[in-house]
Amino acid sequence: MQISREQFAHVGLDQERSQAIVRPSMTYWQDAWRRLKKSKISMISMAILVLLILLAIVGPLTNGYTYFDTNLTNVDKEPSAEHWFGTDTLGRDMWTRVWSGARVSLFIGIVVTLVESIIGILIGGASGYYGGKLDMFIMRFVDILSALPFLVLVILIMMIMKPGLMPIIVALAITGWMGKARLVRGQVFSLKEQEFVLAATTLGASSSRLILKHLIPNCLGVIIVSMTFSVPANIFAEAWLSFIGLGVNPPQTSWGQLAAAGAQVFQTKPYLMFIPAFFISITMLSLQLFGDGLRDALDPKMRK
Amino acid sequence: MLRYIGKRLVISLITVWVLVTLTFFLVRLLPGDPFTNPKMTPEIKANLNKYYGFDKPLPVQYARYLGNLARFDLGVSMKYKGRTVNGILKTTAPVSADLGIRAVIFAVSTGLLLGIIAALNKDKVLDKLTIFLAILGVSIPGFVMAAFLQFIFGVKLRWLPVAQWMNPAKGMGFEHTILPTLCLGFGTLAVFSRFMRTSMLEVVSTDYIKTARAKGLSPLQVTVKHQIRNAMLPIVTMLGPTIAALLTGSFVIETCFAIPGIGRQMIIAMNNQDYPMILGLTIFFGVFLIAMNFITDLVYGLVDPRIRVAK
Repeated sequence: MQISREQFAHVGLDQERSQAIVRPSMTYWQDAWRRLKKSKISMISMAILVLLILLAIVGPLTNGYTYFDTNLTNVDKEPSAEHWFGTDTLGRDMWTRVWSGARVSLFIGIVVTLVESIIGILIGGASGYYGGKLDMFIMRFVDILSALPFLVLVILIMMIMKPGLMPIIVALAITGWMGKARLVRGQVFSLKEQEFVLAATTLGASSSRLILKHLIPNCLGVIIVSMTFSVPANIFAEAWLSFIGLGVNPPQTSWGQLAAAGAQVFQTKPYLMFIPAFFISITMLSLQLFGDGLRDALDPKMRK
Repeated sequence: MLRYIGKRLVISLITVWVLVTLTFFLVRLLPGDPFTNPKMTPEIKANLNKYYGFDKPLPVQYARYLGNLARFDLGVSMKYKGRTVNGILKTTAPVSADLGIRAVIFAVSTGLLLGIIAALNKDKVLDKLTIFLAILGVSIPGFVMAAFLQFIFGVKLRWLPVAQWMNPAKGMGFEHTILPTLCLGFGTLAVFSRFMRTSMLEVVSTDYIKTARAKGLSPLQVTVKHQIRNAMLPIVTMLGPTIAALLTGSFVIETCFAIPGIGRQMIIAMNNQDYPMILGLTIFFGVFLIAMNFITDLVYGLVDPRIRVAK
């Protein structure tokens, strides 16, 4: 077949069109989500976390038992078709108790971690960025608050507020943000001397924009690691408070309390400890793996 | 620099004073009072109140406490009759500090090493292994860990003593320190290894690492001189409070291993509303923490010369 010159039309160079952006532009978060979706491990761990939260919501309703009904003719039973996780020393159904405990533990773990992280990030970010007198003042305040006896603070908060989950959350959040503030402050100290901050300042970025858009996103790596550790730390802090009578009251329970109660009898009835301990560990594992994936996805330097 | 240190010392003193004042008045707000024995007659109670100076108005008590504190006198314990707070601190603090130093050295060196190994082998088997170690370290509470180790190494294998701290006078040596050190340090080890891994990965994609590579430095030199040094920053931040926390004792570990340290004292003091003890321990811990954070701020400049906290 012969191809002749006439069959082609000369299009020429269209400045407008060659400069046009064909692919849709993505925000930072869209891009991060796209990269997170590519990581199989992150997606699996996210699915496990969602599943755990769903089980915490519906779990206590599935087999007709309640977390507080005792049955003294049916105590210390091993896991069976009737009681999926067995029964405890008062004959209460462990499946129901594990999942109603999950409600308390996951709620406290997640909410307290979010609250203390937000407070810590904002205060630490401002302290590190402005430095000088403000930093000195904030950091001495942090010193005092971290040195005050934890129990004194907790008891005073419990006195002021109505008993329940709220005072526990407030007490843990008030005593928990200082570590994150110091961490973010230290990172910001180093980051604010780097070239991209100078560039942003030269372009006229305001202080709040610099802190929120440039400095804090660059600290996210350490913040995420510290958050993945805060969740179990808060779950156990609640268990410890319950142990000395300041946490959630029996018959209400939590994973930490169940594990602590199970640890007392682990040589004779290991399942009482291993079941709650297993769920705490699997939450931890998923959080760590998800945290790793999230860190990679949020790191703008790893963008391809 | 010297001026900054001087200024910080003055501010630290003020910080300690605020801490003392706050604690002094906050503990008085707690419900209950130190003398709750039902057998106690009102006369005995009045006498006790007089002995400890609680019959005076609160501001007078406060002024007197500050006066004594200026002479480093922390008062007399109410739970341990006739023992001074200073005396109790002197006997218990060194034991906790000894255990704490061992735990810090063990946890930080192993944690950093594991973190570095994990970062250099990102997403490979070694990396995943450190994740599991971290999970073990964080999801097993101290008392469970202590019980397990005591059961395995103390009861089953009989390799190590179950409890008690070393006491050369009674022939109890180094083997008494191994299990408590492991238990106390494990959580810190887990945290430090994860932070080090993340921090190493943050640094690896920076321009100065590229420059260092382009200069033709060996991979070892790039890792040691550039990557690790720059990754140390969050570790330095956490080191201060961690050292303060580990050296001032742990309630759980000291109870599990029957170690006569300072960690149990705060809980005992709180349970008995032993005001002088609560205050004394708070001041002790507070001074330690403030000093550690002070040192941290100075060390920032060594790790990253761009940082100047002192201005």
